[in-house]
Amino acid sequence: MPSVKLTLAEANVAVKELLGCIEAETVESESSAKRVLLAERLIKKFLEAFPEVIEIPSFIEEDLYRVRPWIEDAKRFME
Amino acid sequence: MPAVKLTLPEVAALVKVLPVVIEIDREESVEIGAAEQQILNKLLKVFPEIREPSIVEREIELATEEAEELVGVLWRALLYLNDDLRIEEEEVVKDHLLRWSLLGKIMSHISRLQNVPSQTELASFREKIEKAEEGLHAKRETDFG
Repeated sequence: MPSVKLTLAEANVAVKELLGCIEAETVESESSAKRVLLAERLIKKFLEAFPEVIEIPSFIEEDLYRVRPWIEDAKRFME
Repeated sequence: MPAVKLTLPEVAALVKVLPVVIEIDREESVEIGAAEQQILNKLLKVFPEIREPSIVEREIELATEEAEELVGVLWRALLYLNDDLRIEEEEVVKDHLLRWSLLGKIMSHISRLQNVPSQTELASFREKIEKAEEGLHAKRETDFG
């Protein structure tokens, strides 16, 4: 699998963008539901690779809580 | 003034963590970020062998579809910001440059991507990024003489 070397600052930007992408998406089609779930998978991967992002009390946990309804919608849609 | 004796590994650990804290604090409070920056500068002065407050680099493995999704997200973010590129705001420019750097890394590492921006789109955007960088440098020179 191809790998990319990232700095923490870049990982932070990616996670923020992905959170914004989930929030902006309306789960109305299979492709939009897939996008939301793929973005969530990517966020989890980034947080695993950069655990310090979540160790420090930050915007991340609050934001994940905020986007959870969109992720749940996408999961229901795909079932 | 109270003194605390630190070993080099302890300083290295602090120097690794402080830039992260500063970055997070920027979202919340400039004052806290400034205090941490002061500590960081002090540590780097006392321990010059630790050069830059290097921000940790890690490898992250991306499947092609994940990389494509990320490229799409970053590209849309760049296009959106394109209309609102206020080079006088350092944070806006820095975020912009980070998105650009991330996009470039993904595109150069993963060659089999579909639905990527065209060479013309990229070239036109590169000019804007360069202008933003120039603006940032000019601002730093004005601010710090």
